[in-house]
Amino acid sequence: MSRSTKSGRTKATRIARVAPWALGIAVLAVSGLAIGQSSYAAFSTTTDNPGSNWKAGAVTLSDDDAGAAAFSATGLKPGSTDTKCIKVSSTGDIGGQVKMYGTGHATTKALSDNLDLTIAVGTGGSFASCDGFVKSGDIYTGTMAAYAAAKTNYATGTSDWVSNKNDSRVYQISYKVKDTAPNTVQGGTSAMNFVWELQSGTGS
Amino acid sequence: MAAGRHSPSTEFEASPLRDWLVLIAASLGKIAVYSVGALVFWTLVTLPFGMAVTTVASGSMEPQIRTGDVVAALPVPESSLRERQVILFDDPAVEDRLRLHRIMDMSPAGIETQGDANPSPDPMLVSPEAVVGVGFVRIPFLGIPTNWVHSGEWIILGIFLFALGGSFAVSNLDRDLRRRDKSAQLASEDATVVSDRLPDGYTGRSGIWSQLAVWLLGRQPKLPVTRGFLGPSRFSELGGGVLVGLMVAALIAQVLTGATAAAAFWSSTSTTASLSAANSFVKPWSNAIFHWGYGEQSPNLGLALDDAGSTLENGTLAGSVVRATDGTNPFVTLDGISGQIYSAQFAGAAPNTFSVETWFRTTTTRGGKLIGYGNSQSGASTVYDRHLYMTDAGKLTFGLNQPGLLNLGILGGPITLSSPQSYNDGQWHLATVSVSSSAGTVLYVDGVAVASNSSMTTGQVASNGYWRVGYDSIASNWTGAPTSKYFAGNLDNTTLYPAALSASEASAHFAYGR
Repeated sequence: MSRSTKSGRTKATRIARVAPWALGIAVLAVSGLAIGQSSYAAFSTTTDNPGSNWKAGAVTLSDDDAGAAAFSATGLKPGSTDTKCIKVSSTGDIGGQVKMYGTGHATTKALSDNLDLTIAVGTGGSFASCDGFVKSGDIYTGTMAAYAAAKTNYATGTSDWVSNKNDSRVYQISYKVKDTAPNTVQGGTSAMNFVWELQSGTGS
Repeated sequence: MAAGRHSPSTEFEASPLRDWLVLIAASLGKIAVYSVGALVFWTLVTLPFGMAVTTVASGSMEPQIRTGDVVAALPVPESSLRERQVILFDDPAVEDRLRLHRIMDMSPAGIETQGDANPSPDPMLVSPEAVVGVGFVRIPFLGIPTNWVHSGEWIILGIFLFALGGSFAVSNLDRDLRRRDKSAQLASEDATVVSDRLPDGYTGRSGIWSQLAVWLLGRQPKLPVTRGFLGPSRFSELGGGVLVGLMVAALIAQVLTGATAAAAFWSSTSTTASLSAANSFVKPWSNAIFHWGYGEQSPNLGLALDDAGSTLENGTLAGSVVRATDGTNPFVTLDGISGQIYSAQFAGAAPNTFSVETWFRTTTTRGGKLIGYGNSQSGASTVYDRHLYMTDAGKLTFGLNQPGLLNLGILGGPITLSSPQSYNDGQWHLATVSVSSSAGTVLYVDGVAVASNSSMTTGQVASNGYWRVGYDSIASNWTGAPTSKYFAGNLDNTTLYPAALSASEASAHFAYGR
């Protein structure tokens, strides 16, 4: 019979000789097409609006001020002072370094230069009351004006807390109008947003 | 048979089923190995074009770009950048890190970027010089081993390498099939068909590589075809080994030197501070006889100490007087039943040119004395006037017991002026009474004159008396005499001045605040 003439040569063995080349070309072609398609999909400029794919639960920073201002005070005089605590919490699946900085700074009559600002971090206490606050570190001591100039974004912000997912810190912010504030500061104003920001994959 | 011809093995037991199983297994192994190789191949293809190749380490560009993808970014001139392009750039927020996000907006201030899976744009703008390239090729999965190395997941990496090696071994299981097929093919051909120019030892047509070897190298010793150095089977084995070696080398090189790009998730929260300074820093009581701010600490809690520090001007808290503070500004609370504050004795005649002033807050409907001069230090004075009191209706009244002609009480007696409005509204107010022996008396509330009487110039002749705060006698013949002589409410900055304050001073005192 023909098989004995071929002495062990079967359809399988024939295919086995072609297989390396056929499979190689096929894999190369299919992968090339797949990569081409995935590249187009990824880098096409006609995608949906970014943010519509928002991965809820990735990471969310929040605080306990319920939208209220930490400080909203008028009639300040040399020596006027106040302290506020605020609890910042991180929830979600992702950790990273939390940094604090200031935005939206505005001042008239150099009030910010005559405001001493002290920021500390720790645990205990809340926006309602600083009772029970235990300090674990000093973040900033200086004037409001110097803070506004130096700590302007994440890159330049103070860094004291590496969040390991679902944890929190309490920040204590204090201001005092310098006893030496001159009369030229009368009627002056100072406004600041204090921002806490977490970037994933940092600080570890 | 010609000498040297490779004889087919007749002892081999060809089992068709086993052949097929071996073929299928080996093919699967080849597909696994070739797939990894193809990913590496397509990555290498990008390099001659100068693309920057990075591994994606996080998922903020999902679903189109995932953690573990390898992305090749093409450097382009700044002018070619367009909105919606995905760019690779030096992360402005984190040093020594690349970020892969989408351009949302371009302006002279910088490029605004956002991750597809982030709810809002990245907080920091990107300068065009920081852009490494525009995303061009996405090779999925190839970066997964790199991420394993960076996150220290050695066990999984070991399993993967073991699986890769195992796939390679499995992929060569069909070597036997190929060898059998080859030798059977040769055996079925007539050797004489093959050119007899071939020297002895050669079994004839054995593929281009062997013919090339013959031509190049001349006479050759016997080389079994299927084990020819450059025979097809050996080539495929060699090629396979080279391929796997290249893949492992490429993976190692990528891990050691390749950059990792973050598709970074972020979040932020904020609070605000809004502060404004008083319009006047000048302390109103700089020249006061006494000023009680009620900020004393233990062990002086029973005293109201004058800011100037002179003991003559100290006050004593008596009865139910409670200290309080609204954050940073201290004050006192009187209960309207027993609480009062009294001064030390003031030697000499009671003044006819002076001012009294105090901040107050109350909701009482029974009135009470705020401040006045009397001959008793802490009890009910029998000789008293120069007093500011609140009527039951909440109006402020100030009275002098004028001495009359020749100080004999003729055409004299109590004379008062009152505020038209009530002030028992639970808000802080400033009451300022300015008495001038020449110009009369003016009552200011919150820095504004509300009542005046130019005839009220002289108080009762008295001396060595006391200034009483929160309580003292008020006989019923005083206009609007209140039900309660004790004042119930809060007091702050109770001050006695040696001069008749002007309207502008009263206004400035109110602007200064508590």
